Amino acid sequence: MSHIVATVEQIENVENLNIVTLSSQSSRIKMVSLELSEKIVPGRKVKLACKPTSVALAKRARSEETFSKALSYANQIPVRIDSIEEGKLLSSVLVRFGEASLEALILSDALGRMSLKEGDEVTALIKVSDLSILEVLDD
Amino acid sequence: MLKIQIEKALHGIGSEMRLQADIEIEEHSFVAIAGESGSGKTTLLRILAGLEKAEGRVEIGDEVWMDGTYALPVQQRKIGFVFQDYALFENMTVEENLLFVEKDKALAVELLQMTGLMPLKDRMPGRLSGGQKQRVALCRAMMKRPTLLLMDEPLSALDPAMRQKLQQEIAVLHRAFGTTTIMVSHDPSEIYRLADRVIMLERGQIIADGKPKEVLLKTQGSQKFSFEGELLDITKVDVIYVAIVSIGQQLVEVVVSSEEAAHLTIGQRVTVSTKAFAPMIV
Repeated sequence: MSHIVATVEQIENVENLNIVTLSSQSSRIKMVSLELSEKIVPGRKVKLACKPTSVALAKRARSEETFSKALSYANQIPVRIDSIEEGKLLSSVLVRFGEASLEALILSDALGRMSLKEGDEVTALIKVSDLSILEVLDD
Repeated sequence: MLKIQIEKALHGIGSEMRLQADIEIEEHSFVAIAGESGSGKTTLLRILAGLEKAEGRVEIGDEVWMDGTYALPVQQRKIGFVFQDYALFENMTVEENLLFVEKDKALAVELLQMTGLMPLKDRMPGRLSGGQKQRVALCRAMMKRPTLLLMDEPLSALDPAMRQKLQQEIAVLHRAFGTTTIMVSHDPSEIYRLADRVIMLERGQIIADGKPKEVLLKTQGSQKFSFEGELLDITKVDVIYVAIVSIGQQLVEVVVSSEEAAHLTIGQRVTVSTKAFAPMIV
């Protein structure tokens, strides 16, 4: 499981459906949720969680703007590759996002195709429905 | 309004504990009492019925049922009580069981019709199925047109299909008679379907009180799909690990990374959870 500590900025909701906008390392992160605990309010720090299987990687596009306009992912997080464990079919790529270490589990085939290596600056892509709030931090 | 402020020593296994409840219940509401066995659920119900003594006060509307040493006799409380084991009079027919409580033939017929028991009105309880017996017990409990209907795990001895059918009938009777209903139950689906409030007891103390969805959804943060289980095994496949967890009567497999696997020990209790967006219903 990958964890990111982030601060709640805004909550938009329609009935019991909520879109939570958070910030971490000056990046904006969004997630979708049904009912939220009343403790989750703007200004509150929370620990976000995400399975490594839900993290995809993209090579940085030449222009960030074109990039964000081409993909529906609300979460396009700038990261740097810390280490790669290459398996026969699947590979585990550990990436650094400030203090947080995220793991992306991708096809080994993609490693070669994208020629990813340690130290590369890439973008981690996470769907809003794959991120969840694991716990509310007391501060 | 039903106002309950009671205290009583409970004789638990190996330890003394006190049942303490300070609750106000709205008229016409349906409240479920949940909690592990020995937490004081049945005792609370029996105190309300006047079958057991306690310290404190019980008040319903402008009637005082219990205050200090004063206790209104069981017969004078407008209650209906449904037990898990039916407790029917075996030597009386279905209809006689109802009329024994109150000689109101019109009401007996109305109740028997509402629950589809009319064709069985002359049968003896010994020749009824469990579901039919509990329907009779339910009808009998309504014969006094109770202000307060108390049910102690009324459906736990029945199979799931019968349980669901009786849940509907309980809901219909509760609405039709405008009773305030308090039901002890272990079954989350039953509580969700019937109750508009659930009170959770643990060792005699109220540990949660709220809407069923709020109390019963086991969540820490935003995750909605959460189960407790035992970690049985972890096997490595390529760069990932597969954890086998037993939940209820089932085994499930969960993919974990090497980092996650490093923090897990076979045999430990784990919570398996995911977002409400991930599971598929097929």
